[in-house]
Amino acid sequence: MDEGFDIENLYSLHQKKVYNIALNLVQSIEDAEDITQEVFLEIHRSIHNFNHQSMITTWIYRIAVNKSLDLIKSKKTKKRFAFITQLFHPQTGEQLYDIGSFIHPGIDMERKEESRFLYHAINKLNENQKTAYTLSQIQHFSQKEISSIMNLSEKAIESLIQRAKANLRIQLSNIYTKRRK
Amino acid sequence: MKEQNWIESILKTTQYIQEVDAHPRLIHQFREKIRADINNETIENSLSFKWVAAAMLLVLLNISAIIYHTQHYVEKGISKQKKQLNQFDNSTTYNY
Repeated sequence: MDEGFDIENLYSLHQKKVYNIALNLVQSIEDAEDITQEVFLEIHRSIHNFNHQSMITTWIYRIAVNKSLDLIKSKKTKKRFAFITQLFHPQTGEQLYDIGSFIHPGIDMERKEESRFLYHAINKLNENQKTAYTLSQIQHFSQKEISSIMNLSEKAIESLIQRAKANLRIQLSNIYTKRRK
Repeated sequence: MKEQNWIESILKTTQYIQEVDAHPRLIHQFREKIRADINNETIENSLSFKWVAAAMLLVLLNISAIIYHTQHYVEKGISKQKKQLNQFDNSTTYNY
């Protein structure tokens, strides 16, 4: 550990942001907690590898994003062999559109249902669009910050956010259509 | 129109999502993990130090053994030569 490097101080300062980055990407409180711990353990173990080419916050948030995406990938692999819970119409038995169960703990009661649809649609985006969209629209990072975290140009980030919005509209339109049936 | 309004209301939800704090137990768990990490590091370091020290000792012992045996054989060789020379001197007759 470097002299003067206080991991506990770093944890106190950045834990909330890291936790929320993970929460928005993996959509699970338990997983977000695990990722938060793993991020800071990794920082503790590899601080000597930090080359100061970016700000330390950028480095921390980049680790958080990468660990979140790694978990999503590993879960997708396992899910292929698992049964998926489906919602059925109580009277007709017809399969309803599965909108997922994640409700963000930071949302108001009256918007809980809407947030479920939102996160379900976000889940359909590819990695980069999902990351850029959640960091920008939910966590309000600037495009400059996101471009440092994701190691992409600001123009690329802007394009990702625009495509994410367009794809979300398509997803939500599909959900709307299926709900009406 | 209804669909578009519905979609817009869903997308607007992002404005109402607040950042939340993680459970307070996480900081305590983290401190324990750091302590365990540091202990493991100390054990690993002391173990590897012991291995290095043992390897160095082995090398030194081997070097000492080589030096000892080299000296021993050199001295043996010298005394053998001296012996042979003495024998030669004794057996040589001088004709004047």
